[in-house]
Amino acid sequence: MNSFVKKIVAGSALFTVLFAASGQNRYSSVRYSLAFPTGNTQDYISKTSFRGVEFEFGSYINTHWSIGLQMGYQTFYKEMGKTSYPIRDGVITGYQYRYIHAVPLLLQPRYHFAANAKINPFVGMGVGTYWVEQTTEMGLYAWVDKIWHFGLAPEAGIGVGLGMRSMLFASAQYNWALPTAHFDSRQWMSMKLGFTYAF
Amino acid sequence: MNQKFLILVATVALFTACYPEGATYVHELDTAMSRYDSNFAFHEPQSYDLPDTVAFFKNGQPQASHAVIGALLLTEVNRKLDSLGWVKHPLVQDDLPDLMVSITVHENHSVGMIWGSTPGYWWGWYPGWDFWYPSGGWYYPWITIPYQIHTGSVIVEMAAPNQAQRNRIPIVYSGVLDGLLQGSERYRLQRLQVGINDLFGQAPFRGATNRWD
Repeated sequence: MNSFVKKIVAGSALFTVLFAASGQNRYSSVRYSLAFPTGNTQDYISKTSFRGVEFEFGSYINTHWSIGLQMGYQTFYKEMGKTSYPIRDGVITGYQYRYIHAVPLLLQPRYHFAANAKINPFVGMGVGTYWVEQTTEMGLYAWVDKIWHFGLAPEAGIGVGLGMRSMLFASAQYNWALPTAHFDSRQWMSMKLGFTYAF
Repeated sequence: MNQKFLILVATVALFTACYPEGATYVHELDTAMSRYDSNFAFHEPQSYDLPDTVAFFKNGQPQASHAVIGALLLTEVNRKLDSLGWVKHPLVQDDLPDLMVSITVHENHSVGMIWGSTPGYWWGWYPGWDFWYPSGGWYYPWITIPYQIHTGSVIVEMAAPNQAQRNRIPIVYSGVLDGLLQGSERYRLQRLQVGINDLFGQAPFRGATNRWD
């Protein structure tokens, strides 16, 4: 992990902990995430990912604003079948399997339009890092890239109150892991469903 | 307490389910790779010699031949070259074939092959050509590097004696089948047959592939 990314991660964690500790309305959330690959991710793996989970811990700053630290894990996978691919002065033929494991670690501020209402729509903009491991397996060979990206993740969703402290959470978030010097950007759209518990 | 336990179980289950499986059967780990001199006219049928012997090695040491596997490989490679219109031309001192083809099997727990970019000399096996062994030997425009892995490899190589320069015969084609040494003999023979078919379905023979379809 380079120093810039370390600073981002450490800063995000510290910021969130300070806010969460000082706030009166802390919350934690667990969500299932379904993801549709787009852009470069779709070019590499076109298949929808049903393997995703996300956790968030944060605090309401005031009636309309909250901030949290969001950690997720999303896996994209596709069996390419038996295919031939060009190599330098040659060809390789075999079954190919493609994987992307992505771990977003985002600082997630949100604006809540009606925080005290039963139906609570919100928008947010995640900022942070994405750790992406991309693996291409073919026969006994594997090509692996492990990259830290800086990323942005605009989000829109809705919270539905289930009681004094719990809330149903549903949102759509566009994950945009920005390109690095040696690797293209990665993008996908997440559809999330989960529960938030205030304490 | 029960609620926390359920959340813990659900979380573990989620993470466990997150890693997809990959290859299920042994043959799905087989690969066929070829590397070749793109200037050589593989698509134009020429003459070739293929010794009636396949050399077997284990851990880099010569090994007794496996008659069934050797016969299958010779039959398949001959059949593919013949169907391309290539003519078998035994090795004769003053009338060399366009290609000298060798097949070796590395039944081992230690050798796979990978190509590096550094030119090098052939490690060398070809029966019956002692009468004309140029001092320069065969050479690769690339280097074939063995590596440690539990696999078997079949290597099909083709050298072009008529293109020898300064007594060095260029190897114009290397085909490598790699796979795990698992399964019944019948399963392995099927995999070898598919592998040879894959090699000859690749470039540089692609121009003639349709004749087999």
